[in-house]
Amino acid sequence: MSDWKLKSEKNIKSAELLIRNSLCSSSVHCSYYSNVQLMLHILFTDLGKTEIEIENDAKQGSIDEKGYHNWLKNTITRELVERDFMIVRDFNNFFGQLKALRVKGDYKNSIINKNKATDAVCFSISINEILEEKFSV
Amino acid sequence: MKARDFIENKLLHLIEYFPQMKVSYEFDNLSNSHFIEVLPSSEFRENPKYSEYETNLIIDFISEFPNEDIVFVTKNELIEIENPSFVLKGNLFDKKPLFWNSNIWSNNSILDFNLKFKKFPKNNINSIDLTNAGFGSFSSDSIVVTPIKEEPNNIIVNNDDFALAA
Repeated sequence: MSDWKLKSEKNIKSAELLIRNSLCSSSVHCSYYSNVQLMLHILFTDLGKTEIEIENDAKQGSIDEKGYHNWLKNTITRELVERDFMIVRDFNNFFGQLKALRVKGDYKNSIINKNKATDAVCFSISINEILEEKFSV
Repeated sequence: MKARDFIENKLLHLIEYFPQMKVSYEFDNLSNSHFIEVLPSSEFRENPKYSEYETNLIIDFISEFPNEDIVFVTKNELIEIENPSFVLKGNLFDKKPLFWNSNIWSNNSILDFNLKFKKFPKNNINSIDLTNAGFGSFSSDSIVVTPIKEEPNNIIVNNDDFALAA
């Protein structure tokens, strides 16, 4: 198991702990990063890239696609298109919503309530399930 | 072409293909995401033709605009559209099909049941005008309903039974 996978799992647990302690806005960040870290793990394991290759691809991808997270999501989406065309929309729409809520939680002058934070964990778990089903993790 | 124009063109095409649908568009500056709310939710979740269309649209968008996000949602999801920049409605969106919600035509539960499951009593079948009703465009406007008498409730509840049951 890579450290990315371990961190991904711990971020889900952290999100749940934060919600249980009424720190709902902060929890969305953990839910979101659990997916980001699992995607990095997939590049390393299923797609067979070395850490140096991932760093270099990310650097170039961040320039071409204006952002590390855009590059990562698009790399995984392109791979999903090949593996299961019909799952692409669920992955795209779940992750897109979670990303927007995470931006709201981190940067906007507003609070995320418990229901939304709990939904965010569920979305994150669903995204991880899609990734685990379609890639070797 | 800007991402918004690309999306608007695609959505105009979408509601021609799927005239029973409505789409609302909103851009979120902070996450650089284009949100499209699609209704009805049942079509969004269960229509395989629509799913395929949306998937192709997402893939086209990502190849054209890799630094922006396009996200399709429906009601009761994580993100809600609050101030749409534009709304596009297919020309069948406002027409309720017969099988959607029969209780809009009658207050009579038996008649509603018969309409919903298409079990028309013989003496009432002639009162329903089906001449202009095509599949998928069946609307309440095309139906003339003759009210039928509500049947009396034949079940008599003895309140003493509740005490025995408890």
